[in-house]
Amino acid sequence: MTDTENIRIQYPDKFGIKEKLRNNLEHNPEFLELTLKSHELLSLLQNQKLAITESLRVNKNVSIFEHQIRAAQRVKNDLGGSALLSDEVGLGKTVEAGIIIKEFLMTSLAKKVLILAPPSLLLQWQDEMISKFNLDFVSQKGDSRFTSVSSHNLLLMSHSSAVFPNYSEALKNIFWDIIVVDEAHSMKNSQTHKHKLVQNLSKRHLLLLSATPVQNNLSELYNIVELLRPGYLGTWNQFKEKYTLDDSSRRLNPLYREELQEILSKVVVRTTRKEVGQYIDFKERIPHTNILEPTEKESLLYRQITDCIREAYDASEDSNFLALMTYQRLAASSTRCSKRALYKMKMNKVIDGQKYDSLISIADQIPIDSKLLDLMKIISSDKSKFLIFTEFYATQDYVVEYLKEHGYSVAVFNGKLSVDERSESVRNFKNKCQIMVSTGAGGEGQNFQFCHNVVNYDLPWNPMKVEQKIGRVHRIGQTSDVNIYNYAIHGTIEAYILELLYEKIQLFTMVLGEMDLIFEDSEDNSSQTWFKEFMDSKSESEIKNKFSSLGDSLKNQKEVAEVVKNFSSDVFQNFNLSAIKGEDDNGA
Amino acid sequence: MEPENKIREFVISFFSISKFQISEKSGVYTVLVPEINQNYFQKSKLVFTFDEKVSNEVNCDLIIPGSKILFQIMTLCSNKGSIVKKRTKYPTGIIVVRYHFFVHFSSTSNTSKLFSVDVDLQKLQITNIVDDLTEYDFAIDPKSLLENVTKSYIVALDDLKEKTDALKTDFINANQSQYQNDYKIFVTKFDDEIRELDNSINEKEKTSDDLEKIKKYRFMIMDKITDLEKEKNELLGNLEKKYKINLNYNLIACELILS
Repeated sequence: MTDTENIRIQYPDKFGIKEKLRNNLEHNPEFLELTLKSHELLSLLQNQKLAITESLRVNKNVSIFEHQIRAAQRVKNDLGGSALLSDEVGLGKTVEAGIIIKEFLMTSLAKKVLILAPPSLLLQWQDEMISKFNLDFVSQKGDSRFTSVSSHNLLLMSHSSAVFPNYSEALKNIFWDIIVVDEAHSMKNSQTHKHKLVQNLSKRHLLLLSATPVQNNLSELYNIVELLRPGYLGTWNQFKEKYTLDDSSRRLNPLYREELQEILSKVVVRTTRKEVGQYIDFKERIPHTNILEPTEKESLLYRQITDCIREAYDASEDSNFLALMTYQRLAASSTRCSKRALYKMKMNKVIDGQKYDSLISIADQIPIDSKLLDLMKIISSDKSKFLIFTEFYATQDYVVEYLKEHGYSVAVFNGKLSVDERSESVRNFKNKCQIMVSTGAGGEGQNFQFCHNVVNYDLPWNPMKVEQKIGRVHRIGQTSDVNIYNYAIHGTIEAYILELLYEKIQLFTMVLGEMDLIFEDSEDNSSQTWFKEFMDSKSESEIKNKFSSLGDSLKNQKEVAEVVKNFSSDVFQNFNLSAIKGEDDNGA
Repeated sequence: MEPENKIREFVISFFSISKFQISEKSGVYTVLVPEINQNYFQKSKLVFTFDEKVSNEVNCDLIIPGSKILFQIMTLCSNKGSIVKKRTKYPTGIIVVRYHFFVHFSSTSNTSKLFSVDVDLQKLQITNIVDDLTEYDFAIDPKSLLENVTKSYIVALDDLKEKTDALKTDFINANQSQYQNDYKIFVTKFDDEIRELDNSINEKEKTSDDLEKIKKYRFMIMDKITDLEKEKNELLGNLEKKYKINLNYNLIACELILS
């Protein structure tokens, strides 16, 4: 590369100053000082180590931790803006990436940013970027604002979509200031489309995020580092010969551990839970699973609704599948929701008027839901705050009305509220109310660390949603152990999911971030599989068997994730790649 | 001046100069945003402080690097170029153009600085006005402006390049050094890989007598080497793009001075 090819010199006059001068036009004299001062300030900020550090430290809406700031500083100042962020699970790699993106954007050092994440984590990314950093990323999936990959400066895409030929070609034609790849271990195989895509994209800075960059053998670490700095570790054969002990490359040669650490410290930042234990007190999740016996009427109502749905399912075409699934979910949420389901079923001719009337009459004979009755006992014996989640407005109204009638102070949170109303509601919950009842929208972007009781009044069928909700309360910064109350009625699909799937993998006690490792590849279609299995089963024992085997398969996934996590930890054991230690070593 | 003080001075100047109604009480500033700007600031009233302690006590925005309001104001101001007429204390009739440049060099790292250059509009020579200036409207021969603005700008640019030469050289050298380093490890790796493949042919020839198999193997390795060369060239292009240097000499403001 010669100098002339390498250097682009520009003399912009974007305000047309010369033309105005030629025409003797005087222009905004009062703005001269401000124009100069704003550029002077910009220069000052650009040249700082991490200009936004203080604003991160004092941000009351977000807990940003020292290790996250230091990791970002290290990436910006020492690693040229590209690194593998490899903190252990739950330490906030997303936040570290967010800090770096924000810093580069706020100091006008970047404009075009692309985040590639697994499909199941796209919403979480979008949510975290807007709520914590006020960065409004447009998502290629499920975001009505998305037009084309070249139209958005802040773009969020799934790994799998990005490799579609039409998208990948368009992505390659853009020069990206920053590319972030979440769950970067999925790039571990250099022969895959994903790996080749990231390798071939034009970019200035690359951030790869993975708690477990080595899952099976050291070639994976090699391939990931190759994306950051091609050639940095030599050829694979050279690397293998020197740093590994066996043919399968699963064992690190201890003689060269220090040397490899030195090399990796130029491209990897990794903080462990132990290192941050001095200032982060990780709290436990304590699940309380309540599968209640239904009253006779509740049982009758649910069974009859399910029979109607099953009848329609057996006779229906695929187009009705999602609607039927929704009725089934509504039926399990609350009696009021069951009525809502029945109304919809009548309108969509799943049931006739006569059936509707008879089922409504059963519903009318249920004075109070068993779930609510049980919940009241818990709330009345504990004066601390409760965050109650339901997936449906009808249940929300029902629970709120009942609680208010019984003298409780209740804040309401849902997607119908404006931004201001949402803030007001959160403030009320924090300062005045004992209880908040929130629909799914409450799971996104809100921070309720001042509360340590979460109630899943009905059960999200998507495990990532479970995590998202619990994550509002159980996050680094929470000062108490978190109680998680899960409700289901015996015999409902929720009860099977809770008992045979979630319990089997101990979903509710997973360490923060662990769930991502298990469900990262799921495309949010697990709920459809579960509903299908439920509908296709003709007896309770058949349902149990099917859900039990689904649970076993999830358990296997969890065990694999555990092995992978341990292998990564083993490889990195005794490596000093921490941003915290790095700073200390420099005497900072 | 400390960055905090610079920020405070800049923000308050902005609201005063822009004629927004601003008041201050115990370190808390309240600004009424005119209707025309409410869409931009997304608020009709801004309440802020520069003091962290105060922000902990009062529910208001804290303006420090990274805060949204500061970013909004900086963006607004850096998008307004301006020309102002001024005079020295004892002018003798010489007209000087002072060009203000924001010099920004960027690649994998960045550096930026403000520079100003004074050019005598008649003689088209570099000059240096050190006097304090005051705003002053005066007439200029339009013909002289038409004829000499471009020329004076070229003179200013030449001087600017000279002034920024050391900065530029340091920046380019540092960037080139990083590039060369990455280039070297990149090319070495590919060359080594090609050598490994070459060697594997020799190994095959040594260990096998089956000429047909050796021939097949050789073709396979040649294909691999071709693919590798192709990959190398593609990635080299990306490496070059990564280290491409942008040298921007932005003209951001100008003063016409009666000297």
